Amino acid sequence: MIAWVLWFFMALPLFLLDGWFSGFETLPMPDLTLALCLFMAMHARPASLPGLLVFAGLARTVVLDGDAALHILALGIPVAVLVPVRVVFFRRHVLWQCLAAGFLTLALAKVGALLGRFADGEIASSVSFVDVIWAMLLVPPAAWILRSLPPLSRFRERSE
Amino acid sequence: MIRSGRRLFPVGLYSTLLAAACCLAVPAIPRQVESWLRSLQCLPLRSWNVVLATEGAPSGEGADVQAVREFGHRLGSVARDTGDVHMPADMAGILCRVIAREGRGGGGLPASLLLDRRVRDLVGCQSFVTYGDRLVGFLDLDGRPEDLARVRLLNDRERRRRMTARVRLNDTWQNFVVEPAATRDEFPLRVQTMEDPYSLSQIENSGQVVETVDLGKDPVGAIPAGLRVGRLRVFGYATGSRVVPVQLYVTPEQDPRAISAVIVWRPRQGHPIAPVAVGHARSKVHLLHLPAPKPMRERWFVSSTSGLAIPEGAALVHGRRLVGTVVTTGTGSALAARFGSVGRVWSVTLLPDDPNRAPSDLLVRVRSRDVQGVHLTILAGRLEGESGRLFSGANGRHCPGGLLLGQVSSEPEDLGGLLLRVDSIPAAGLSVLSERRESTP
Repeated sequence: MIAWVLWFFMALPLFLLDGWFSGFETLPMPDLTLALCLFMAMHARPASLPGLLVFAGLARTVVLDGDAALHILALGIPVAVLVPVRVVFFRRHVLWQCLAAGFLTLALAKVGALLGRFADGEIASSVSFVDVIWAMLLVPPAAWILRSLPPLSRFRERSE
Repeated sequence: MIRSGRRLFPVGLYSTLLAAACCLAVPAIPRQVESWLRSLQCLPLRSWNVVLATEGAPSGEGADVQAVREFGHRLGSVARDTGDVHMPADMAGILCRVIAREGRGGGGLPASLLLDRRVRDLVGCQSFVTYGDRLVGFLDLDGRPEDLARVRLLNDRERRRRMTARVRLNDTWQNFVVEPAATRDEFPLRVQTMEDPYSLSQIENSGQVVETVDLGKDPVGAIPAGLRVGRLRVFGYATGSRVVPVQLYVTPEQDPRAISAVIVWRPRQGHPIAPVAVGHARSKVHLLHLPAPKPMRERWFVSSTSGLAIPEGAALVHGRRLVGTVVTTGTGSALAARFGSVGRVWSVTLLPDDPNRAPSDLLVRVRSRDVQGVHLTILAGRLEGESGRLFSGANGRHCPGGLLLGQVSSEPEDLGGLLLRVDSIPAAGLSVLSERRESTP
């Protein structure tokens, strides 16, 4: 229960930190939204996914245009594609995590652009090949940090 | 086996996505719950904002007030100037601001405009509504006296009003009837019942000015002759060097999506006109800059000092200057986006620096924002002049027109837009405007 309360209040600072990171134009910084999605897709308990997604979607409405439902879909659809695949992956193998990070970079941008028409403004920016490469390098370590720290560490699958 | 199946297909996750898709289709039900939860989630921010808040009055307001006054004066004189069209001498024009656009008429464009005057304030006015020498539409005073009046545009299919118009071809006037086109048509108005179909079938090029005809006993009410309805558009198939018309259309001079003010005509001898029915209450707010991920980059958290609810779409102003709008409402606090948020569409009016040029109503989309300023793409409306000051247009009930946005200049032709230079946003002296209807006597 405490973990859920913590996640409810910590989801917003996570996206604010992500926004602060995105302000560094010259330095490549990890995208924490992608790191969260990677955590949900590869490491989170399936039963905890709805709660993680709902609170994350709600927090994302504070920093971006659109309703919570829109952000739940924008974050959830790429995750929902990856979750069934995780059974056949060796989750801890870094190669899968890098590939999943690359997929999430593209998927989040595409799904965001598609859903953006329901919002007044844009909810996703276009990505380049370089962005995908940086995401493949930086997002897995960021996801590792996220899943090592509370409250997300409480939602990891027990088999890990 | 079941456990493996749940891992492969987590029912909770897919149910959540399905529920989210349903909420997207019917957003009214979960919106209140979402607002409460978000207010709860933002409690730490609100406390932080109160701690950091700095009090102060808007600075540099004198120049802005002067600019807004000049805008109001020039807009009023241009809107009332009917040029060569003779309006009845006993009629006076009332400048009415557009609050919102409604419906879908011919050409898929808005069908009516909601004005800032009550029905009972405009009783006795002429049915036709103008802007300069253009006919905009017809006044609709149906409804309760305390309701806001509407202008039914020429392409309104609900109250389909046919009108007689004419076009000059080969030094002769050709009369015809203009009526709303279908919503799927490319143009908002179409031509019917031509006086001389043979002559009109010889038209090869579009662009001729269509103007009103004064009928002796016009069933839709008297309309002065010579008001511009729009420009003729020829729709047909090409045979060699010419186009054989299949249907003639008319495009209005002013795109309905960009109209932000109109003139309603009333007898000079009538009762004194009441002030605008829609006022705006100003409540002070504290602002907290939040870093936001791309493409937003910046978000503002505003908390009202009075603790009152802040409505969605409310204008965030610094004196007479519009700096942003509230995008997500809450009780005592809300989230706002600055004017330059990428992807947003705004109704604006450009007041050219050249005093001989008329203000132009535009519909713009924010294309990008960088160190130079905000880059705007023009979606509708015609640009007059290369530089000037930009003011807000009709952007909803809580965002009044005529607020200063900043100095603007046109971009190179390959970009074809506008560049708005935006000053830094001060932390103190900010207020939120929200609609306040004048009480009915």
